Amino acid sequence: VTELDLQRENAWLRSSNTELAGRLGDATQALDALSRGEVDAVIFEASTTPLLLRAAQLEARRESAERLRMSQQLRVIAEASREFSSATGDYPRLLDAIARRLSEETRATCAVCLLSDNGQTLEGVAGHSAGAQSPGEPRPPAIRYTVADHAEVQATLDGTMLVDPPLDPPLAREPTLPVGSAATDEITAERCRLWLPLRLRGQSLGLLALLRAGPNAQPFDDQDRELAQILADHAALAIGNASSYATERTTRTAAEKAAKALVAAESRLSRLSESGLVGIVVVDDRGRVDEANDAFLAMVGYSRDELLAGVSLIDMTPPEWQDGTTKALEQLAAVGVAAVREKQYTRKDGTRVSVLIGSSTLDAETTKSISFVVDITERKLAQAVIAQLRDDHVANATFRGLLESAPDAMVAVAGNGAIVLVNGQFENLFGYGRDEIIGRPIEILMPDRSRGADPANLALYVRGPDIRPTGQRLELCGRRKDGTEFPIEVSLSSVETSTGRLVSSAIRDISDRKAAEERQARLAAIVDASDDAIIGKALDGRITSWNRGAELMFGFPANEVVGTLISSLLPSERAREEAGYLEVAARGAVQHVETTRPTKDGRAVDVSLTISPVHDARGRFAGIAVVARDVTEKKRRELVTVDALDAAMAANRELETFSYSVAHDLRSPLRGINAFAELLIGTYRDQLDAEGQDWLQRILASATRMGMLIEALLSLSRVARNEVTREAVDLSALVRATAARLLAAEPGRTAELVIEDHLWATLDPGLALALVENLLSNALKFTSKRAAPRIEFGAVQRAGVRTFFVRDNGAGFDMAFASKLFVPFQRLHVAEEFAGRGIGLATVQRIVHRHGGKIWGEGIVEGGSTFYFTLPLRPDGVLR
Amino acid sequence: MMGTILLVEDNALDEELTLRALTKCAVPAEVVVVRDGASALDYLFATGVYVGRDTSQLPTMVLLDLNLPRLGGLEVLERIRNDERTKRVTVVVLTSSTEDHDILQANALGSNAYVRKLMGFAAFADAIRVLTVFWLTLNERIPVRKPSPTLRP
Repeated sequence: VTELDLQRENAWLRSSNTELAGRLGDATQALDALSRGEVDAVIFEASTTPLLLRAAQLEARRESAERLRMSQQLRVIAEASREFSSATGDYPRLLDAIARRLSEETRATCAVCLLSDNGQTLEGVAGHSAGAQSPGEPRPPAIRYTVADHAEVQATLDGTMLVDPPLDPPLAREPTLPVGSAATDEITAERCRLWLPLRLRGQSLGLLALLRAGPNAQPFDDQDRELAQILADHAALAIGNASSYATERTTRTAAEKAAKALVAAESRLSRLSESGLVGIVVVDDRGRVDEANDAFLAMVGYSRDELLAGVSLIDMTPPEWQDGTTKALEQLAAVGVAAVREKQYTRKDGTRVSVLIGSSTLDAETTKSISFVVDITERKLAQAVIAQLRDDHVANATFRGLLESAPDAMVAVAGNGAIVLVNGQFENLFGYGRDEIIGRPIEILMPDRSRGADPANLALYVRGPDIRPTGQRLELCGRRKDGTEFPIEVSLSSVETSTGRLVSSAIRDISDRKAAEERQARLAAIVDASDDAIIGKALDGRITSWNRGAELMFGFPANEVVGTLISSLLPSERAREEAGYLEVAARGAVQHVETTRPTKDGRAVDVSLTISPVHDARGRFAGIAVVARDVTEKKRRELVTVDALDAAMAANRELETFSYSVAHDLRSPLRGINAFAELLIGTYRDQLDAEGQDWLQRILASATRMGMLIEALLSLSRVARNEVTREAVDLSALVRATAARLLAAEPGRTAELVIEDHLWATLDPGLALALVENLLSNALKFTSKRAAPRIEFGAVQRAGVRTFFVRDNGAGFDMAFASKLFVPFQRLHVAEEFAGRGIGLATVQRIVHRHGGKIWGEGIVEGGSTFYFTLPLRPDGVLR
Repeated sequence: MMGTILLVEDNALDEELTLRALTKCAVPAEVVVVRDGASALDYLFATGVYVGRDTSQLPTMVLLDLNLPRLGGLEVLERIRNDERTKRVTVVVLTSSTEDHDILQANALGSNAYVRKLMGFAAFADAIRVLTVFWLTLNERIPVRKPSPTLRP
């Protein structure tokens, strides 16, 4: 019950003074309302401490299950309370109700025993058997003790709840309980019996005996006992009220009659008065008592006569409360009502009683006022008890259990800075054993340099007189027993105990987190400094991060786009791409994509995207990270390159066309030269002398040679101009057939052929023939002067690439001129030595190049030559 | 009956050499020379300068160069084959081109033969002789019947 609750109650009470009495009187209704949550709090009659505590705890505890249990318990209590108070006027019925209620709620047989003979004898007055549906005519159990003879009975009457008192007849065996009682011989289990004291305002009324009998009897657990005691307290209250009611009825005085008459007008007020819950006092304008009910008399400890003899309420008010009382009286005189307030009275015996009091003038004609007074002394006490309970927790086992099960290292430090409590995790973290650290100063856990001067010093927090560190989290440096230091996070809370304030610290090793933070910071710096756009996207397509690179590349600042859908930045066809990236990334694949993305100002950026899946801490796919590189410039360069290539190829084609048409056109006049020279020599030979005929022959020979050159040029250009088709060609077979054909064309020629079998390549079949033919012709030509010509064809691996070769043991060449091997019309040998058109190797080179391959020659003068060439499976972009 | 050879040749040297070769082998035919593709068609369809020529009188053989001004040889060939009146005429492509492309095209368009103009007169003359002997002498054809004026109504 906090100050706040009290204020709330005050406000509630203040709402209507006339309703006050009725509401307060109907405590059961109020409790119902409380348990239903319709009201915030209820004020209880002073003596109902346990109930008050329940309510206080109900308010204090937040765990719903516990709260539910409590509210159920409260409902039971409320119902019992209502039943008991409704039976106040009928004493026997009340006792039966108590026995039945206790029996039902605790599932036990119940005997109600009250003191008689001035407290010397305990007598059974009512009983109820467990499980009895209809008790019929319940008879009181035949129980009669002389109190002094039984220590257990005396102890119970003195206020001690007894669990399993000795099986002492007759109470234990209950031989005269009503029908339906179980066979008691089988009572063997412990905690199946319970004796509860019935006490009211320090006075013992008697006791309640509870018994669970039978083979399946369950012991009373904590909750059973708690509930039983609360019900017993209520029963005691009801019994007390009922007996004073009975007493009052018989000893009513004329003055009491008048007071009764005064309050009888209001039936609820009457009931309130009778219930003894609220003290009622009627005073004049100087505070002199005109009337007071028993409840009020009990509160202040005066007899009615003493009060009526002239004791003023002002006299009973301690000095520090006088001002408030004076103000209240002024308020009463002015507006007829004094607000509900808290105050104290000095009892007759000098002790103080705390009360809640609300007043109003009685009627218009008189200056008298009526006040309703509630004793809150016990409640005040209860607050102190709760606080004490809380303190006690520090030392109790539950608390230690909690401490040990805490994930963090825990250390509690007393006000003087000494360590008083640590848990196992602490021992592990700091390397100190429990025994060696208890009692040592907290500073031992800190590096020397941070002691005292460092504002982030744990000791300062713990010892600082004005600092209330509850809930603070600090990042500090800790030191282990071995002297190593490590980053820690400390969360502090303070606990007030009877021995002073304790500061408990939960300490967590944050080395990993610090390291992770550092890594993250470094990564963040890299991400931020990157020229590439780095963008994070969640599964729903929302942008989760957007670095500076992205801001620069796309023009959108991060705060505009983070949290928005990526699709909202893209035209619809691009947005579909994004969905596809997520799908693929969900399968764990990293994607590389070239596409375009719009900028804020509407340009399109050519980007190369690397899209990687991102997983959360638990390894689940959580989104994608996209690294976008601006490739606009690269694209532009590529385009330039492609353009250049196109231009070069176009130029090349033009050149080929040109050479073709030149060759073609040259043929006609050449044919003229040739033909007419022939005609001349055929027709006019006789008219020419030998020299003339020789010249004509020279003309013819030159023309013929030129014709051959033109043909060669045309065939070379044909290689360049014609489309390349690709087929699998068995080069081995082709070499073998071609070599045979070429040898056959030169009667008498032989050569040793060494041909590796089954060498396949993918190339244009027509060009393959030209390739092989040219290389073999070449080889044959240069081995023509060898006695044992030898030509090899095979394949080797060069730099991991399959490389074909044609080798001969012929004239060879000087490597100094290797670069001229493949230049058209360049000859490394004089024409007279080896006839040739100078175009064969150029053609070969062009064929190899057209297939994306390479060709080179190795030779030794008079030591033979080897021509190597490669034929990739696909031409690597040489031609498009 | 004397046939006609239509020589389509723009090069004067080649024309001379061809005529000389034809003379040498004493071909039994009249040789008509046109210098370009369009004139060739004029002759065949009796248009232009050849208006009034009897189109029923088709040449026994057309010697067609490919590289011609105005209308190329292949186009001339195509027009010849696409016309009912001329589609059966013998066309021999006589050219200096040895391009696969030209040979394939000429074949596809329905040339009867593709003959290369060989270097050297003797070889060339020999080729011409073989051609004329084959097409004008060995090759059987339905004789072109000149409609009798008396049959006209």
